[in-house]
Amino acid sequence: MALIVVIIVIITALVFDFTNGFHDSANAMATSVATGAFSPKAAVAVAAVLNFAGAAMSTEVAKTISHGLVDDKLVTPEAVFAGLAGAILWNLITWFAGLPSSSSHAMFGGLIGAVVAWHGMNGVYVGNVLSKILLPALVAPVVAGLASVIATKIAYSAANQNHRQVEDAFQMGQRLTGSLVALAHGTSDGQKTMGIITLVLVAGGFQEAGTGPHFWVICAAGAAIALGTYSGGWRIMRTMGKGLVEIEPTQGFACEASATTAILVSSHLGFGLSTTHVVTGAILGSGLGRGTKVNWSVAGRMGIAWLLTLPAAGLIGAFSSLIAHQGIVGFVGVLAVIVVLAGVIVWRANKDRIDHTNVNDIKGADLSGDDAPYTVKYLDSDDDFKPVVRSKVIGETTDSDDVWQIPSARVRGWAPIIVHRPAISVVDALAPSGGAK
Amino acid sequence: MNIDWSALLLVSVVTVGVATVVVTIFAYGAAKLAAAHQAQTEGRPAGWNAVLAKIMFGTVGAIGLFGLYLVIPYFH
Repeated sequence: MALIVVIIVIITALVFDFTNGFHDSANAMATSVATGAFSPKAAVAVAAVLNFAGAAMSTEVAKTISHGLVDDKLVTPEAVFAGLAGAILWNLITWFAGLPSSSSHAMFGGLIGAVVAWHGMNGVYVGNVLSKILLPALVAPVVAGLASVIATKIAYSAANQNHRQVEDAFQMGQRLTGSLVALAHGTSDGQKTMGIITLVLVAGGFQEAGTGPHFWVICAAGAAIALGTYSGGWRIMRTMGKGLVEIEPTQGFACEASATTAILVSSHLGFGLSTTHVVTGAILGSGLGRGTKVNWSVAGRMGIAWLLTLPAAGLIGAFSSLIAHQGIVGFVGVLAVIVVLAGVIVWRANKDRIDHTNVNDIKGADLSGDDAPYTVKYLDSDDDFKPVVRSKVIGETTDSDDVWQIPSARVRGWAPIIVHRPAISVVDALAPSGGAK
Repeated sequence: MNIDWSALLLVSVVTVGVATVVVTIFAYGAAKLAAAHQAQTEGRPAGWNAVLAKIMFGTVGAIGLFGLYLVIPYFH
């Protein structure tokens, strides 16, 4: 295999690793960002460091890229390259749409498409695709969701939510569980890229078979996933943190603890579940457990994106495979098309930019209705912590996520309040249940 | 098609069980912490509430450390 082919595949693998990072940073941090347990910048910084640490710690390379989904003899550098191309483009498309989807599924879909295009269906083990891809995708949100429903119900009944200590404790719990998810993500997904690069180096005769990844491979793969994570994937984070249900710290902890448990248990008891599917299921479950409004239309769109992941990435992989098999010109051609399409997607995304400054805003939200998507809490100067109330808009605005002083006459001596969302209009606060003081 | 139903069932049961236990202990820990704080602000001694809160958070912390052990490949 020519050196240039090896270099192209390695670069493509690192780009995929980067998209994997920003696609999945929401899995670890969306709920913590939504509840304010982490500031957006701090969240991605912590997740990036832990992803790098996770990737660096896990250097045992998988023996195959395909995990038994296709005939390994057919997994040529062309197929790997085409599969990565499909995965990268699908990751960018779903990111643009703000939808979480499994990067591993995109990768497998691309690989399957690439093999089918060149060798036909005989190279694909359909039974394994059903049992290792489709079934876990159905099971993951249900199991994590069920755990989350129960955990959320218990958390709300056990602890009185009107104490600041309770909220602080749950936020701390969120920080720790979110960090554990980020670390676990680094160990599993960072290692996938190392595996791809190492197998390509071995196939090209640049590394002896059976040896572990080179030091530079570990560093490059870890750095790519960490940089991707740090860049945030804010579009997906907004959907997961704010688009499905309104998340409170108690609920966020119950959700994140359930997701963390599902990820660790599944990867150690032999039935691997996708982090994306687990976390999304847990968020939905926490909404159901708290009995709050769940945005099923967003959840439905996510479900459709999951179903499309395998065939869509497969289709791109198939086309890429046919072109890449035309030799080095084909490789470079596919690479050029990816770069152009990625550029277009990023350019379009920047027209409606979502970043750390507006990740917690909800586009088009009705701020005046009873379903105002923000909460106002009284932290009064005496000690008792008043219940959460929703506010009605009457005209004044705040531009920071800070403690904000409401004219005391309006709130009958209960200032200051904490407003959990920047740039909203806060006006009159409704009297909490139990009547005003 | 070869589906490992027993692994699937095991993962489901253990996930729901462990998540429930962890969150229950943590939530009661938070409640005890709040009760201890409440007592202190009212000038009463925090008493058992503070101790129980520490025990409960410690238990969850130990489970978290076991999770860390599972995540880090070096240990196994």
